Amino acid sequence: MKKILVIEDDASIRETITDLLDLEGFDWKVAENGVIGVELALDFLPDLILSDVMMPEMNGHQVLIELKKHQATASIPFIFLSAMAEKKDSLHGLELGAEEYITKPFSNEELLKAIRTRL
Amino acid sequence: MLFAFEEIASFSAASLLLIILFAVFLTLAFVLFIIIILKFKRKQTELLSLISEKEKAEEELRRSESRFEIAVRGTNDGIWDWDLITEEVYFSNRWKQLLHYKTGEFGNSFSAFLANLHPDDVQYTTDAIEEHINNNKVFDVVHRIKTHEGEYRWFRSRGQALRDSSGKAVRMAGSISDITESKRAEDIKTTLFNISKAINSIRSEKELFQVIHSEVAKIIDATNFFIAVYDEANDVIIFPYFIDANDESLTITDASKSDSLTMQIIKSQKSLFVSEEKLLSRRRSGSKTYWGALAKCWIGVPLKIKDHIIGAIALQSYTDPALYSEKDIEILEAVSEQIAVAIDSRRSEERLRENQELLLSINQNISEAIYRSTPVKGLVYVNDAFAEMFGYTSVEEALSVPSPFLYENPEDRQILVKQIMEKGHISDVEIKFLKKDGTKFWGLVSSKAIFDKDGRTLYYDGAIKDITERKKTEEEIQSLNRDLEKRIAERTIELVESNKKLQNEIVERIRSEEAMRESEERTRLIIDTALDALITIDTDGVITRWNKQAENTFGWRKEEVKGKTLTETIIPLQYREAHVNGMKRYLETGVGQVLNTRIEISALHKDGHEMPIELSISPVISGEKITFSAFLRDITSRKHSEEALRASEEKYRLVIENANDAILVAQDGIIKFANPKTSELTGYSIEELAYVPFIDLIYSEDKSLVLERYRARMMGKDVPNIYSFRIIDKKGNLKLVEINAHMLQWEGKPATLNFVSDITEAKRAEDVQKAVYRISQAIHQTKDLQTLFAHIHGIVQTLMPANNFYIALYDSKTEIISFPYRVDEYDVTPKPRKYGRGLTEYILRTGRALLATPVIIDELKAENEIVQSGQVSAIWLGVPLIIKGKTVGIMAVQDYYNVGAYGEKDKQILSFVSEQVATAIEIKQAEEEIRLALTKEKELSELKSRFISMTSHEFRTPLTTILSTSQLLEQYDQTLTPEKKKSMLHRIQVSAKSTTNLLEDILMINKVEAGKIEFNPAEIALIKFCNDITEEIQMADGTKHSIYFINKTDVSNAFVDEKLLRHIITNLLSNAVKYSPMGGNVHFTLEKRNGSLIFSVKDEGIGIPEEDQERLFDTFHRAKNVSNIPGTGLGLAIVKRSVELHGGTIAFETKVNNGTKFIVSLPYKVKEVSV
Repeated sequence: MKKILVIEDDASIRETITDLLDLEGFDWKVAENGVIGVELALDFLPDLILSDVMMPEMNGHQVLIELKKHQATASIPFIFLSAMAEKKDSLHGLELGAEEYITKPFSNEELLKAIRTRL
Repeated sequence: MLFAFEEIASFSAASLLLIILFAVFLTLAFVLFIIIILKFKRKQTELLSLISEKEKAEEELRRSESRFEIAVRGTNDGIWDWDLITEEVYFSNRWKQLLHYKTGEFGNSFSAFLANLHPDDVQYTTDAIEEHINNNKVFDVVHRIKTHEGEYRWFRSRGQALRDSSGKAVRMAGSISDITESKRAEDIKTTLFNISKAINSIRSEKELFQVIHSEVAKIIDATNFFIAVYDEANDVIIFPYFIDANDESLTITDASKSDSLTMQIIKSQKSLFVSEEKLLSRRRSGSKTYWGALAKCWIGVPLKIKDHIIGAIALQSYTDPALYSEKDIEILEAVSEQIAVAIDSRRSEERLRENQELLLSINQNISEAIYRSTPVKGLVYVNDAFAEMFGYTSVEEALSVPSPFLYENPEDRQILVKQIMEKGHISDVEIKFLKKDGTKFWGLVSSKAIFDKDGRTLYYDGAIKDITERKKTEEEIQSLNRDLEKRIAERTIELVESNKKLQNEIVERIRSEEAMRESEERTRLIIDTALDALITIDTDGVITRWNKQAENTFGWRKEEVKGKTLTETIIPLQYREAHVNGMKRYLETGVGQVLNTRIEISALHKDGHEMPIELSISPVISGEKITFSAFLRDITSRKHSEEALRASEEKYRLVIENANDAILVAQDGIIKFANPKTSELTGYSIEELAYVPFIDLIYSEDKSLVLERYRARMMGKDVPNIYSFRIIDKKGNLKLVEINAHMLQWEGKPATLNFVSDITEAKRAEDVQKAVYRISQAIHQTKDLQTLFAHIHGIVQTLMPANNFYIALYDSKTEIISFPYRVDEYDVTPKPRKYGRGLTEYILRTGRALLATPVIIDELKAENEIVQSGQVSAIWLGVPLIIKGKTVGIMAVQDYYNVGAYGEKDKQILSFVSEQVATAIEIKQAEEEIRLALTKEKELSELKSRFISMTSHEFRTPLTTILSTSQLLEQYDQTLTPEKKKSMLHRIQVSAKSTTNLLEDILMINKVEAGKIEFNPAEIALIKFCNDITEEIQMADGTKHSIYFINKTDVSNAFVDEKLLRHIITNLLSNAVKYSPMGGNVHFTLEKRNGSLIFSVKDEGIGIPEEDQERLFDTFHRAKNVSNIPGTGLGLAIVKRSVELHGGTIAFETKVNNGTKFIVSLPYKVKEVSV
């Protein structure tokens, strides 16, 4: 069972994503901000990370940068889920080493396709 | 957020909602964008039109600029300031400069001044000062002051005492101006006038020369002075006037061969200046004939009459080599003309008199009896000798005797007449005459007849010599001869003696005849060589004498006019009758109008043309005999030139009288002619102008310029004809004039013809135009208003004195007057102040310019229009700055000393300039406003894009939940339990509600922006309301923070706008939660204080940085430390507006990382009536 870490400050979105992951048979953990996200990633060592960008405490970009520093987490596929829809935002995310940058709102199909491609 | 649950929405309902939300969002964003763009465009169009108007004005001004010319500046007067108490005198540098002293070289005391004053001027100067100090008489004197080099120069000194409150003079200050040149010009003029007066009034030449000498001595040192006259015929120089310290007068013979300096002048016809050195070198090389004492310097000028040199005058000094200079030659030349005229007129009068006297003396002083008789009347003229010879007591008695009675044998007369008629003359005929007493005597008669042109006898002119003694002797001899033989021996000696005597008498007679011939010859010679035509006529008008000059003048030869009358020869038809009648009248009454005066009349030439002549007739009376001697001079050429001159002057006058320019002729420093415009310009009447030296009209600073140009022009130098300078009119007004000066001959002498136009106004207008142009230039050359104002001050100073200048601006909203620019000798720039009752406010109030003289200030004070503060000025001039009909400020100048510093003219000018200044301010303000607006627009645009990305983010988040969850419901419909479905639908609804709230915030802020929020108060249960909101927020937040509502009032109901108050409290509480760390406490307190409800919300959050506090309530503004905390930046803007609509206030206390407390104060009202 593939392990997925969801880092997202918005509770509704978190719930929606975990509902989908449950229904599609993934093992998952959630973090409600970046700091918790990094801790969990190092502990949980997921197969894939879905992360929001704009979050309190530590944003998605910082999380990615941090995880790239650790050997254990450096190569974990990292997908941004962001409400910042501008091209430059997505480019910036990809430059940091993310596999994919998905703009909110997204379709479940789109998200599942991105997850499956990376696993 | 808390909202009511409704029945479970269907899946398609969720989709529809989604689409609506998108459409609303897009429309909203577009509208917002258009509003912002339109606002920006309007500002830009306004700015562009302002700039194009400015460019148009600049173009016009640039054209006028090219015409502008800089006025020329002259020199200043020297200033002195005398402290009467300390006796210390301050002399300005210029003062010292005028006397050729350097700064610091002249003592600062009154005694130093007195020591330099000419000894002759000390008394009246000190008297005048005393008179001024004691009796306040005007101090305005002319005196001589010694320069550094020891030369005295003339100065006009004027001054005024300053008095303390008791009227005691404590200081006296004034100015001096160098008037040496004008004084000298004045003196020369006076001297020339006096000399010409003397020429007309003094008969004696010697006396006249004395007067001339004393007059010359007034303007030039004339210790050694002589007048030399050259007699060309005899080649001698005589000195009719010779005053010399060392030499005696002498006569220079063979003058043309001599090397005398006088002769040098006569030969060269030029003035001569000889230095000591040259005099010495002459001595070494020249002849020794006419050396006088050796002079140190010598100047001489020729005496000229119409280019004919008649002599010279000279001055010399035996002591001072520098006594005379080229300048003195000019003076001497001016005098020489007068002297030459004097000598010449004296000489011709003398010649005439001499001629007449000579004739008279010839007739009267010889021992022979001279007579003239006519065939009809008998004797008409006899001389004294005649009367004596015939034993009559007087000539008249002799003339009354009929001719035949004079003869012993009356037949003798017939015989004589017969002989004369035959031969034309008789000579040496011995006739026995009868004396009055009956005794007889022998006369030797010579006579000739004078005929008229028809051969009729006019006169018999004759001379009789008494030969009685000779006859007696002859008779005795004859008687003796009869006894000769008898008494030859005894009588031999007697005979010899008698013979001797006889011989002597014969010699004597011959000599006497010789003498008479000689005398006549001399007379003829004199007459013939006379410059004038000399014509003698008898009482019948018959010409008896016709000299060479008469031949030349009238074309008639002497032989041709013989026996002719004047009427037949030279008197024109129109005068003939008058001539005959006049002569007749004279002969009858002894009155002759034309006699003994010089008249101008016309005469006929032989060829028939008429010519102007100058005529003087003198009757010559010898006993009964009358002849008329006429001196005539052809004055055709003189007349012609006089006529031409008169015509030309007439022409000038015609133009001049009607000209728009002041036209005047200046000569010898005075105005010889001026047209009515001159009088208008100067304020002096034409009569007064004749006495005002030209230079007195010129403003002191410009005098030297004008004098210099005038002199250069008179000397024929090429100087600009057109230039400008300032004059002072009679009333003391300064006027700028432009002169156009030309040389001309005026009454035979060089003078200047000047066209003077008053360009004061034109110059002012030009200055104002230039100023306006410069202001408009300054508008875009200066960055800010402050620099612009400094520029404007500089520009105003070119138009009027502006040592004290300020610009005040009034903000009608705050009622504050600020002084963005102020330069003052006394006062410091005041701080911005509330609208009060100063002169500034008076202008702001009336919107009109004000020239505040002391009188007007007193009036305004009395009317309580103003209250004055600060240093009170002598005069104050303020003009309003009006932008679009609104007085936005004022511009003012003031002077603390001189009440006359500003006048109505200045008010006009400043008013005119003020329009430009107002425009400048308007443009600058507009520019600043636009710059501000642009900055704001830029910020706004940044805020807008942040808002868009923010709202986008805020919308996307709930939309993600809505989209994803609705897909889950669709795709896993079979798998999901009903409970799970319900929970999912709830999630969709919460998200949709959140989206709605966000939308409402945006709509709300749009209303806030547009000022469209409505205030609808109603009575609500306040405490319940607060409790409910607190609960809502707490529920939305979950357990992350603790929110406490504390009610410290006894209030239950309040009259408020429920919707707005909900906004206020919800926003403040959700902010407190949002910006607080997990677990933080939020205290919501309600108090009632001073009739107000105080809502305070206190958190323990991140706080607000100082830099953001100012703009905390601005729309879209978010503090720097919000990091990733989502928000639109709209909440507090809405809160503030909501509070304000309630008539309340909002404040906050904050510390970064320590928490913030918002305090909202709303008026406590329970019922509607109290609103």
